[in-house]
Amino acid sequence: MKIQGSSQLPGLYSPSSIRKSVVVKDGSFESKLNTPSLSDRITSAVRDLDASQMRASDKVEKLASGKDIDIHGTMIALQEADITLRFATSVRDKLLQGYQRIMQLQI
Amino acid sequence: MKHLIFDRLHYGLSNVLELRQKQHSLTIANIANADTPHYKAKYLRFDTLLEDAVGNAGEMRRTHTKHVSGLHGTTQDPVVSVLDPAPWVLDGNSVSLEREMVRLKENALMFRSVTKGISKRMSLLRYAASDGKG
Amino acid sequence: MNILDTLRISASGMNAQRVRMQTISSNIANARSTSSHEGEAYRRKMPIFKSIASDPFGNAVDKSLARVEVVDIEKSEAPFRQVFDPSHPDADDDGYVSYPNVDLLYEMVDMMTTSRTYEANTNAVETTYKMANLALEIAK
Repeated sequence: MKIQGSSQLPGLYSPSSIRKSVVVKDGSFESKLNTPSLSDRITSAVRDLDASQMRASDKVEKLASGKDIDIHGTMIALQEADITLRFATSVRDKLLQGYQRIMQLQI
Repeated sequence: MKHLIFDRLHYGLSNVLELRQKQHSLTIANIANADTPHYKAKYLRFDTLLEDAVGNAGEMRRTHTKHVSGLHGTTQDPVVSVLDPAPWVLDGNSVSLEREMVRLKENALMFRSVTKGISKRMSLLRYAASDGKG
Repeated sequence: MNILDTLRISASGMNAQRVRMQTISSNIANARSTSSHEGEAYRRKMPIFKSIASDPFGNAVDKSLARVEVVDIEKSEAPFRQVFDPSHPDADDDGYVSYPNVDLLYEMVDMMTTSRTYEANTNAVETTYKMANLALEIAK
């Protein structure tokens, strides 16, 4: 899936990248701003999501096996994994909505 | 289907809860025998048992439940460790009520922590399984 | 070093104070025992405490955190109180009776500090437990 001008879409995470992408130097939409493509962003976001789940599991395993009894650290990691998953689902839903809206455009 | 959704750690954690429950009964037995002459305080060897329970979930379980069920293990027992009384204790009893009460708390705390871990991991799975609507 | 070690340190403190209380009650009870199974008057008993690093292989902080163990119960070598009483069955050839080297005044003061220290340790257990449970509340 390749969306035209996708590199101009606001960044998934950083508000600063939104501001950056708004600055268009020569007035044309196709300015060469050094921002990663949407698919790259999605890939890295999914990787982060996976990493947060792994970290939470690892923490729980160490807590249960008595290797590293870090109760608050484990609880925070679990909560992070929870929030990251919910956030990723919301972003995915929004992206799909946007894509469907574009597909329904009458040209 | 069982191993499709739940991983090794999930079953490892439930094994750990089982061990914690066993330690709870051991502590209760220790407290009950606080005044029994020549009774020695008994504890599960958590330093090795927990890693086995988490790491080898499934196979190790069956052999271990057999071991753990015995409350009267010897010093050589790989599952239960026995505390020898201090030299000045006259009745040969090695139970210290303070230590047992704190162990009770400690065990309850770890039980709660592992339960939190299991339930949170399951709620993540439930969320993913129901496509973000769970 | 984890929160369970913290609980165990408090438990060792309570244990040590209980042993100390046992020696104090033994001392008070035997304040006038002129004979014992040791062949002389009762000698004042006192526990010897030793601090043991909870995690000798840990980092600098872990190494400095120690639990307390009772390594032995010592007998006081202080001289006995000599009272002249030739009619006493435990009197020596000169008619002097050796009374235990226990001073009730010291024992009462020791008892007060023991009970306060014990209480402090139970409070420490309670607080540690509450802290751990608060940490659990992070993941509701």
